[in-house]
Amino acid sequence: MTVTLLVVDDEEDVRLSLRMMLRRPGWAVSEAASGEEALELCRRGGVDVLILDHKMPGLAGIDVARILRGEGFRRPIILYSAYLTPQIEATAEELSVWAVAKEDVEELMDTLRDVTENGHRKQDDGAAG
Amino acid sequence: MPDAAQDSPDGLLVEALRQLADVQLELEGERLRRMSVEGLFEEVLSAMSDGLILVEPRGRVWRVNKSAADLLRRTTEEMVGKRLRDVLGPGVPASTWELFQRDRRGRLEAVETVVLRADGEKVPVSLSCAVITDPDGKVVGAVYAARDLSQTHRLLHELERAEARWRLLAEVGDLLGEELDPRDALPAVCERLSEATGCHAAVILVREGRFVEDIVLGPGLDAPVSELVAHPLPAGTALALVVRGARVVHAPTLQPDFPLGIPGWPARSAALVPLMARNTSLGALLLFSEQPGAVGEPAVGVSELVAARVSLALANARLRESLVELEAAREAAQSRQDVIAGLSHDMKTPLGVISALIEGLREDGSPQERERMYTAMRRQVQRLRSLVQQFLDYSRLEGGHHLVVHTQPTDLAELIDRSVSTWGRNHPIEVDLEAGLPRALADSERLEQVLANLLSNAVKFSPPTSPVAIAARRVRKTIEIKVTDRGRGIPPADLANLFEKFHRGAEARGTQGTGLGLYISKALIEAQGGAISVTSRVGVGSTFTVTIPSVP
Repeated sequence: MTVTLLVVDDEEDVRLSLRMMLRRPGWAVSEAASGEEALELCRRGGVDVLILDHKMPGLAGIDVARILRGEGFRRPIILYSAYLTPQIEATAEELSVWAVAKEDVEELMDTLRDVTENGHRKQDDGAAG
Repeated sequence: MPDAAQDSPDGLLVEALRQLADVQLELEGERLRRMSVEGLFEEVLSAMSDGLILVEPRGRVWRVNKSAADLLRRTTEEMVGKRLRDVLGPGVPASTWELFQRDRRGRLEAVETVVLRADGEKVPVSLSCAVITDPDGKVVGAVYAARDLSQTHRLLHELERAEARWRLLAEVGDLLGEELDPRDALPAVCERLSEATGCHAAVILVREGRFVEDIVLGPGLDAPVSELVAHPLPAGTALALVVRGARVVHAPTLQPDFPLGIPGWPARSAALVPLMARNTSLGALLLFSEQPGAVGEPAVGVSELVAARVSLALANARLRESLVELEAAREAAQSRQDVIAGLSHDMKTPLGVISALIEGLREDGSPQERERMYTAMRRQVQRLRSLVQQFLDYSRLEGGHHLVVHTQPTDLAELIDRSVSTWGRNHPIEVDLEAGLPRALADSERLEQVLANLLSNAVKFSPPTSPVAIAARRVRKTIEIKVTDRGRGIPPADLANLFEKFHRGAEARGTQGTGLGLYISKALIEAQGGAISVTSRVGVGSTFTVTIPSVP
């Protein structure tokens, strides 16, 4: 069964690099260039894991996560950002969202393996509300 | 009790003594009764503390008491037989006739007037007079009672002076309190002090205990004081002595060549009072006059009080200033920390992209894919290099240094082409180069850095399909490069300080950037002998204009 990963980032090079790195068996990568676009794709269904940049023009990543959780989106969300602050990490925690620093691709890969292969879910019960 | 007392020998003795005392008192009362009216009269006269003078109806002194002699500093013999007016001076009703003229009953009570002493000194007195009649109602003379008021007057004068001082101090306090900077109130303070003392007043302010910061002149004063400002206090002068020694100098009378400290002021009488804040000297208050002896003790006293009030206000103002400076330093340190943190964060994205691409290169891929990945890696390495460059430029500028540039003849068409190919990859950029453009005298790498900054901003703040324009043309001995976008424009409030460091407009929220780009760009263009400016209209877009010298 193929797992669909949605990469959301306003920078094309970031999307390209993740698309190239995540070419693994069983994974399919789709892309969105903004938070608004990501919302649409998630609502349409078929997104299994969301990899979400935080600092973007328009909707910020954490706001996308908040909206989706509010709408009952229960799939894993990874906030993948160069601009994590303790406040954002705390909000991510509340929303059952993983926060991963952008330069740390190893952690991103570990987290992705956790959520896809081991079926690990982050405090999922409290998340959907 | 008397019965018990009589029983004892002691009691008998006490009783005997008491009877003896009664007899004694009886005898003395009898003596008083037997005294002549004349003798009694003398006793009463001499017992009075008021000066009493009895006159005959036409105004010749008949009798005086000791108090009157003391008050007027004359002997009784000197006065008796004289006309009253010659004894008390003019202005006193000197005959019974005059008394009746002034009052129907021939009585005056507590009239304040001045009498003359033998030595000509005037004494304020309260004078009461009354006509004396015999039992038949015939006028036989008049009695004058004079009470010395000089002590009372002295006290009243003291009171008035204290009140005037209090009023002056209150006014000075108000003046100092009205201004945000108490220094602005000093001319008015000098004016009030000058009015109150009748002398010239000036305030000399110093920095670091000795450098003249400012000289504030009271009304009617003029001197070439600006020559003294920013110099140390003139050595060997009274002013330097007062400021450094922190003590009051009062010289009621001065020689014309006295070294006061302010040239051109012919002071013949002066007082200098230091202005102090804790142990720091803030300057001095100077009071002086061209008239020898004009600056008296009371003026010095007032000046000291005013100086204390001024010192307090100045000290408070300095404290406020140093707090503001401290806050500014703290903010600057915070800003530097923010920049460093911001740049560090900015480096994470290219690092992450490069790391991910390295992982991606391990996987199989088409030659085209691999080429795209290498290109992206080069771009991100370039981005890292530019961030490091920004960091170095920022450090140099923060250290107060200029940015170093190496200018040489540069082909702008080529340079613009290169920038457009980088930044026009994902966004339309229209290029308009004037034909036959001369070469620019520029540091090509640094100019490219500026164009990269302007183009990336233009692309970042433009709607995705709205083209950005770059144009270059010759204007006299320069080349003008304009970068125009049709973004949302910059609000006037942001426009004014767009080239300041850390300035990030409201539009930049949610986007990456340290707020250093335009700040460094401006420094770079100016280092190359050029200029950078911006025009913008909200809802229409912005145009950044760079001018750079052309090769002659």
